[in-house]
Amino acid sequence: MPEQKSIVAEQFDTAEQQSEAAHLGMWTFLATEVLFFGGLFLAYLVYRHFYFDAFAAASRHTNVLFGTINSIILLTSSLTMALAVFSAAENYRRSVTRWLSLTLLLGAAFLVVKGFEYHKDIAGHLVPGPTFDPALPSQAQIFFWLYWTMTGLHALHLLIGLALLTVMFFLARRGTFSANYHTPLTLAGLYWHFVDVVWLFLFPLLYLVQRHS
Amino acid sequence: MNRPTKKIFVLTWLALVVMHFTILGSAYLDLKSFGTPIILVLAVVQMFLILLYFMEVRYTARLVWIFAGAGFFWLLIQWTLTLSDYLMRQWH
Repeated sequence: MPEQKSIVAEQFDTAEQQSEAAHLGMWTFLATEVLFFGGLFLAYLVYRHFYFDAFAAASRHTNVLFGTINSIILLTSSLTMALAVFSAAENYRRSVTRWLSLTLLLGAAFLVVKGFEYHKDIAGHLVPGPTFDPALPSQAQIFFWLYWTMTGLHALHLLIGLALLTVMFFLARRGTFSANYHTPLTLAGLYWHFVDVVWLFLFPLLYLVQRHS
Repeated sequence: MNRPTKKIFVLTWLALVVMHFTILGSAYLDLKSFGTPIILVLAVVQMFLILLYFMEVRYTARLVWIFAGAGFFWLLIQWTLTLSDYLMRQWH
């Protein structure tokens, strides 16, 4: 089986074993990512507990419309990513590139919307420092420090995801992926979905604190 | 290996979007002290939908379940130890 041999590295017995090892490696990496963002969420939790009123006032200054649009974009991009992996597993090679390009487009759209939102935030004096909106309580600066750090790091992860998916797109176009071999695509998908999961918590915690009052 | 179908992916996406708007709507209702817990429980359900179906954890080996769960277990340790300090500081 010369074809089979070319995709299995010599330390593995079968392609399945190799794929399982790669999956475990990716999940280990994602565990470190959970702890990375977990530390930031923890900082958020502590300061929100101490300065709840300031956090609520600050949160009402975030833009829910941009946040909602981006949530839908990201959830949809997770669907298209899952369909790209599904297509590879089913050997629908042309569908893989189609779903991947749609995922790339949605990821880029997220960053564009975020760019507009950041622009509005800067114009609204929501950057901590000497120019910060004086009408807001001073602890609101802690909220916005967390807002910029968490959404910024999330956007950076998304940018890395876009780079990863661009590589996957060209590999798919070369016909690298098939029903027998699509591990890199699956792992890139896991990363993409993880970035989506982080946003699931960023959105309610940053945009929706006491919106009703 | 058992794999999710296209239909399952679309249904998962639909559930995620519906839950997103439920979260958004409930944020504008005065639910007293239940508001934040309801929103967070919905977000956790959304996370599980993505983990189980989009990330296909439901269809993978049990060893992957352990690796996927390990990150959250360590997160629990990180949060419990830190919060047990901060939340018990009487001077604040």
